Amino acid sequence: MSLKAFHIFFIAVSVLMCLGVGAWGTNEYLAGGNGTGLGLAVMCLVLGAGLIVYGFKVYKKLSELDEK
Amino acid sequence: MQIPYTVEARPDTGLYNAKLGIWLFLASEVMLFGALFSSYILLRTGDPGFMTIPHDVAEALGLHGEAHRWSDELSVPLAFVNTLVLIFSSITIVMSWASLRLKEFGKFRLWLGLTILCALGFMGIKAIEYSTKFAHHLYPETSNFLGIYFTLTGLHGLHVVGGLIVLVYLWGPGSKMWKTAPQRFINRVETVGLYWHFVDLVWIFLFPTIYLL
Repeated sequence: MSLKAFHIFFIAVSVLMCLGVGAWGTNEYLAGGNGTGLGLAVMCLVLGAGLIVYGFKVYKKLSELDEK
Repeated sequence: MQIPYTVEARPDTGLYNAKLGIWLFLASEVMLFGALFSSYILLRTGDPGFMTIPHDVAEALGLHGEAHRWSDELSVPLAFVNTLVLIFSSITIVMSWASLRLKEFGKFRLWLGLTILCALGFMGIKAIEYSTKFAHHLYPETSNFLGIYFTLTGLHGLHVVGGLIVLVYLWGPGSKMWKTAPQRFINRVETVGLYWHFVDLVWIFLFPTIYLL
């Protein structure tokens, strides 16, 4: 597996982690009004969305580099 | 005698020597961290009081009222910042590798320098976290949970330090190879990048399992 493939895999796992932590934070907030949980959930969901956009862009860029 | 496949891929495996070597090494690392994660899961599921702070210890820590969990003693915000730092460092190391492939050595040093700063930042935050624990007299022998916490995060931290040493070498004296054997140098950076991604991936699993659940 090349660094390109491993990087895309890593970004995909990071997105899943963000979704999981986002769900955990939301649950913490709904269960006991934990403000830290809510903050963490919002940041993770934003980070996850950013990583999805980044993942597609970097995949395209690195594929172009392979073709050169 | 010329050693074959140091630059080009071996036809049957599709890998050059260093890449085959790093993947074999990472396979052994998966087993090492896998064993520790399994120990954590078995200890935690086998002991109902694994996560609970004993009453006398809680009182000594200044915690009053209902039962407290060991994981509440860990700093989630600091660990989350460290997660961001490592995700960013995985991006910067790929950028440094891509810069070399585009023959932009100046950009390579910039991106690799940022990766080194991220590694230093991670260790700095980890040092703050550890010193806070020690200030509260929380050590590996205090409880099984803290034993697992210090073992897993400490071993991960050692891997970060190991990676940091190689990154600094490639940024500094090791970068002379770019002039004499550029493709071998690109392969070296890719190999270190694979290792670095593995270290980051371990943290992506460590953060939720130790700090949140």
